[in-house]
Amino acid sequence: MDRIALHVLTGEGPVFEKQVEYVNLPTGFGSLGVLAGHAEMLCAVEEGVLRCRWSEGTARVRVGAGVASVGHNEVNVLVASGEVLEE
Amino acid sequence: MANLRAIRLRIKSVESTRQITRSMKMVAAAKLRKTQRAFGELRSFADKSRKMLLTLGPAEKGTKDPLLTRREPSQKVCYVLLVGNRGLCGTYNHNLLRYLEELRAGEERESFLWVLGRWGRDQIRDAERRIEISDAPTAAEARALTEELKKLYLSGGADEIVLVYQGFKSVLQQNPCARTLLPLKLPEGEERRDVIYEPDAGAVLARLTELCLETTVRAVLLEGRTGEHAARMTAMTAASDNTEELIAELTLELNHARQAAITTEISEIVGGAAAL
Repeated sequence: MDRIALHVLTGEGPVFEKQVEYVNLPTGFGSLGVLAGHAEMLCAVEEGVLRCRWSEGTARVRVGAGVASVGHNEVNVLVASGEVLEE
Repeated sequence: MANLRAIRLRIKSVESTRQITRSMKMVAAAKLRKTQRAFGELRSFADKSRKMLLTLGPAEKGTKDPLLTRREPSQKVCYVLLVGNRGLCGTYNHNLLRYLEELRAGEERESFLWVLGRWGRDQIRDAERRIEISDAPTAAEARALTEELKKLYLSGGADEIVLVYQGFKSVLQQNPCARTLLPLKLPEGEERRDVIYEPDAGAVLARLTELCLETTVRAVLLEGRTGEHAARMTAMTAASDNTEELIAELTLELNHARQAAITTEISEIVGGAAAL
């Protein structure tokens, strides 16, 4: 399965970076799923939990409000705060 | 002999000065590394947000967002000056003041001043507001300052907010520069129709604007502080070198005086012996 390069960044540095297969972003209209090959998109991210999945595991990241850009198998999530949650 | 004692005392005093300047240099070097690292980490965030703005700018050309719209007429400018937290950093602070004076002299609109940094608290008298900024500015400090500046702009207290600081070129070179924070200028270009905006371009832009303002403020704070630590490190290196030179000169003088004293003593002994 194609992978997506996920980068969750705050002004103080990267919070979470990994090659994943699926990303679920918290937005104002519910959660938004992204798979490899997704069309280019810019979206507003709300405070909540970002989930991602790859063949060997999953991860959850608590994020503050921010924006995300999707395109060319890359997801950049720029947020005010972020913290990786224990699985 | 009195002369010898005076020279020895002088050498001791210069040596303790050398110890102080060396310690200050090392402290400045450690702080410089810390702010440079933070600045590096912020850069990737800033680059990515700028890339998003490049896409959003053309899509939202006609936005009515007050943070992105230039007021007409624009009558009041607020200069936010970032000076050092202390002196002993060469011409860092004074060059900034001179630059600000030139800026204000060329400004036709009414202008007022906010000062960031402890040095400005005592040295600058006409500041309307003074804010302390730490040696390694944190995201929380930048956020609080951004909120205050936004409030000032949105309440009509200022029609333009300009940040004035020392741009960091290298450890040896910092140049004073000015950067308009508000209103934020959107990049121009060709509108891209193949990008999806969720929920819409306006909402994404509003969110991105918040992030960009905070990133700009933090970048300026970090850049200014990096320059200050670099300037202090350079100044203290020069001061330490000067003390070395001074000690060498004084040691030479001491040896001359000592030699002269010995010669006098010997000739006195010889003279005394001859008299017998």
